[in-house]
Amino acid sequence: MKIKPFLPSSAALLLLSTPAHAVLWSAGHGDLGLEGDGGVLEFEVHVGEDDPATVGGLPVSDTGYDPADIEIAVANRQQLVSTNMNLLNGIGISSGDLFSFLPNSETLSDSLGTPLLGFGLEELDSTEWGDITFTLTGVSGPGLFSVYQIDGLGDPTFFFSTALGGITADDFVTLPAGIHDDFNFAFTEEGIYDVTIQASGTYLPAMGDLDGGLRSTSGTFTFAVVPEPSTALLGLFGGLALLRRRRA
Amino acid sequence: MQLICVNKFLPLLLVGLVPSTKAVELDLLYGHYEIQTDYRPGSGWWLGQTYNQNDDFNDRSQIRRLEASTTKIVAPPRAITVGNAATSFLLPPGQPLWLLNQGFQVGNHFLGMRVVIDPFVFQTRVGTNYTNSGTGSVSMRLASVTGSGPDRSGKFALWESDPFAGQIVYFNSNDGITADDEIPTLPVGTHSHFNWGFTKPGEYKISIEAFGRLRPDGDPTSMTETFTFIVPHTGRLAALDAELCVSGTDIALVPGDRALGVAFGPRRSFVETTATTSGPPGAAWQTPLRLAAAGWAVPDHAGISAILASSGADLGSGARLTLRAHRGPGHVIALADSGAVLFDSSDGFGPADELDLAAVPVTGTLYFTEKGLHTLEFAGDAQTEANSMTKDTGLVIRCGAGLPVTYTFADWADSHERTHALPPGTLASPSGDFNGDGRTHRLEYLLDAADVSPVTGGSATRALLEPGTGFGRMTFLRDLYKDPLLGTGLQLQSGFSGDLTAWTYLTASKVGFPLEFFETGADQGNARSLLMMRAIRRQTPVSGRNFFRLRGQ
Repeated sequence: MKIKPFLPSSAALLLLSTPAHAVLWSAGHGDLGLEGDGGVLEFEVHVGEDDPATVGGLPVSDTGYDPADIEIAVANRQQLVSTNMNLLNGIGISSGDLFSFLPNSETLSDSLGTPLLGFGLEELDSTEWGDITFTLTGVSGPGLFSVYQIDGLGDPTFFFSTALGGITADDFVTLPAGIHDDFNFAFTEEGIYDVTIQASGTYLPAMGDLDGGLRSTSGTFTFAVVPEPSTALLGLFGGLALLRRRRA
Repeated sequence: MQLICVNKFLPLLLVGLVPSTKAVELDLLYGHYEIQTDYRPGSGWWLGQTYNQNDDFNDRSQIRRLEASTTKIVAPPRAITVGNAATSFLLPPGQPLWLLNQGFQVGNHFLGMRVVIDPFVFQTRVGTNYTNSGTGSVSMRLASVTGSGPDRSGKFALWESDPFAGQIVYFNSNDGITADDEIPTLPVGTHSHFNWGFTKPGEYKISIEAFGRLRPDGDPTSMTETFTFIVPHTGRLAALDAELCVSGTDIALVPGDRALGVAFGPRRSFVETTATTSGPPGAAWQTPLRLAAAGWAVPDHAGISAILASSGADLGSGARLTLRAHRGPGHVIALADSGAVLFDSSDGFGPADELDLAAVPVTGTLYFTEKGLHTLEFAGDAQTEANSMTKDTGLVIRCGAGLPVTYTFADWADSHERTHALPPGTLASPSGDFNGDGRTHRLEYLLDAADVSPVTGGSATRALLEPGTGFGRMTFLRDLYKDPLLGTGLQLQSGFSGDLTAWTYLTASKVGFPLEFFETGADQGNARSLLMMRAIRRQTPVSGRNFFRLRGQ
């Protein structure tokens, strides 16, 4: 007798009651992006705008995901040997330590096989929105988390860094509407990080309102900081949807 | 014909015109632009500057293309920095460096390289190998760097900052230009940002060759395009060294810096002084003086045409310069090297203040009796072969006695108070308006280089219709010392409106769009000063009403 593969109703209910299953974004360009239709700010993770990104092991073009539905793979762990104390202190390591990171350059992210991640404000009409400030409001994870850029003189600017005094009022980055910029995302330990970011700015058509047109939204982004995956591990992460319990 | 910014009689014909996307000369001073490489089978290559009307890279219809031959990239104040050990591949540490940063900075260029080419047209290069796998790639090679910047030993480099705070250098003219000066692999459909660095003021004509091999046989194809970058001069002068120049119907008193090799258009420079140790009675500040009518033989012309700056007024029939007005506190006295008085404002202005600039330059020293901001206004009179012309007003030189070009609002208020014998503090409030002309002291300070006085007023703007484009524009002098476009502190913002009620202002964060609404440069010449003429321009709306204004924030 052929047994039809089916899930017992109780298991089906179990599936339905586990709302969050996320796909894994493992390569290609994408942004922590903001939409602002009708003056309402909303986060989405937008991938594959220029070239297709790799999500769930498959090429995906120009697609937006709810932050809860996508995890960002950080499968690049390297040793940092440096005398640049600002860089080491911001990441939260000593020279010679390993750290995991997403590089902010297309050439490096291509060669290392990582996502290229930025903040994307291109969906916001620059005539309707003032500058947007992204504020780090929460990080849960096994290690320290930082977001930085290196300027042309080799000087790092840490926009977010839990290594520098935990989460403080200095953990913010402000960008004009319409702009998109890529950043280095660094993690000291392997594991799962949930990073909560608040975005706020002024919706100019509503500046005359009682609230001055101030709008904000919050999003939690999940980074899966993993060791360089073996082929088998790649199959596990890339081919299947991850079942995860959404934390309250 | 003096055209006004509001033209109710604008013919419908002009309203319907599609503005030319090729003819407009544009200065890009800050904002997000790309050096873009296009290739389409059948039509071939196109390289130029581009931007997106909506920043949506997926939508090629939103890409707006600018011709490299008419588009200049000018380094803004935000780019001014100093090299360190990390940039020693380009210049010695501690030397001035103009850096267009790889990461976004308010008030700086955010200049990327973008390749808009379909997949599977080009082979993909890895190292020195080309294959028909992948989606394809092109390479960018630095072919040459020429112009007045390199001619005064200015160097150019393009590099990437890596996450380890290291530098991946692609182009570097400091160690010579060879086949190694390349970005070997830019995948089709890619967009990358880089650091662009320059080490001296002047013009840099950077020729870049895009090349690749076509599928399936690897046929090579390439195109070279030249991009113009300008590093502005400071406009600061340590002497009043000026030539009376004439060309056609134009006459100008053109100051410059001989050692640096630059001549400045009107109001594009600022003479600074030293304290007087010995001079005529009352003299407190001084600067060397040299006046002639031979024209300039220098490579850089900032805010003035090369022809005018190089055409001396003395063609054998005399050239005369007469001081007609002095605006500033105290008096100004010029003494020749011999000790003879050249001009002295304390006894009024008249024929005795006339200088004959023919034959030999007049050399001496210019003295000021009081600290402050001084505007010297001259009349020039030259007999050319064709005609003789006189300009009674407008040959203006600005000086700071005891004040650098970076003078503060408080310095400004104090100087104008003493000039007009006002009680101290009269002009101290930035939001005040002593003369009731509708412009705050803040705005008048921001426009001081244009001779806008908080007491006597003065016009700072000129509006006109661009012929043939359907655009209107308003020109004004921007002093980048007072507002370096950082989005903080005092800001001079240009804006437009169609109904005098709803205004849109451009700011350090709101750059506008070059072919839609934008603040561009309005300077002649191959060079720029940090005192630069700008123009806010916008296509005339269907209503025919195009209003522009400046505000001080």
